[in-house]
Amino acid sequence: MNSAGRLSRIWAGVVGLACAALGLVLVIQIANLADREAGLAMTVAASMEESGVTHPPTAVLLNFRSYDTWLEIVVLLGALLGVLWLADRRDLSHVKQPAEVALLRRLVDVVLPLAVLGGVFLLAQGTGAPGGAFQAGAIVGAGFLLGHLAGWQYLGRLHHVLPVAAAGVIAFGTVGLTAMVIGRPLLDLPAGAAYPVIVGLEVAIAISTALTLVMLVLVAAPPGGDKDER
Amino acid sequence: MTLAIDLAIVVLVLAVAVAALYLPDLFRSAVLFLVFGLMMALAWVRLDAVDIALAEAAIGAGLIGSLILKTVIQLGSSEQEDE
Repeated sequence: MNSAGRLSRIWAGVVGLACAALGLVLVIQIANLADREAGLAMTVAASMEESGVTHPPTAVLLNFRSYDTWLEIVVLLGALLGVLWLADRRDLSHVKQPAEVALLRRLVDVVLPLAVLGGVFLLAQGTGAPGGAFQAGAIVGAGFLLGHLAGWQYLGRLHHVLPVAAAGVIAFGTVGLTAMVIGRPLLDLPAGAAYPVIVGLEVAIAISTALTLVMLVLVAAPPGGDKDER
Repeated sequence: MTLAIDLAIVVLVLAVAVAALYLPDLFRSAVLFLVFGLMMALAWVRLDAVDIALAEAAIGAGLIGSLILKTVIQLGSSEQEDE
């Protein structure tokens, strides 16, 4: 036992030193980087009119590099499928609602609408200012999580979880493959109508992200089931 | 003034990360991981990446923090069941 403990400590020390060395190298490189041009910022700024939105990160994430965003939400869906498979569940109908606490219920009655409003606001301004689909989905998901902890039953009644959770992936696939059917590259957004397509994609991503995040936290219910969950 | 805030954020991020890794109590480590996520969100704001800061606070701190907390609590209660 002692030698195994010492060996893992030595390994931890080696890995820690390697990480520190890598961090030092990165710091030096970034310090030298500040003198040069800002990478692709000029190219992106020059193409902003084509992108359909006015916020450069949104243009990059949902138009210029939308393929990467598509893969990210595929990964999210894959994580959800993995968790569902491990928990051997298909929806949230098995999760026991914790005992209702009046104070928490009153708090959630105020916080949940604010969370939904905040999420929709972030989603709406994501095309022109910091915000966007992931952030909006996470905030709405957090609101629904609080609602579940306060005793609301709506999530347990959703029996077709996977179609809603896959809405983002399906939306991206539809847009991308439609572009290929027309004869353009994959995920090539139409020149004049980029903005509505981007908004539609963001709504789909927000909905599926919110549901996925809530499912990830809630679906692995403890085997006892009767204890109060945090 | 800005440099002082930046230095404070850097020191806090490192200190909270080290504390989260080396505390013996898992529950406190989980809570400190949550705090680490929020400190990282502040760091992203200071780097002018507000979108990433929002995502870090919501997903990195909120979602992953709550997942880790839930796991720690379930692990703790299952240990009590075994004994």
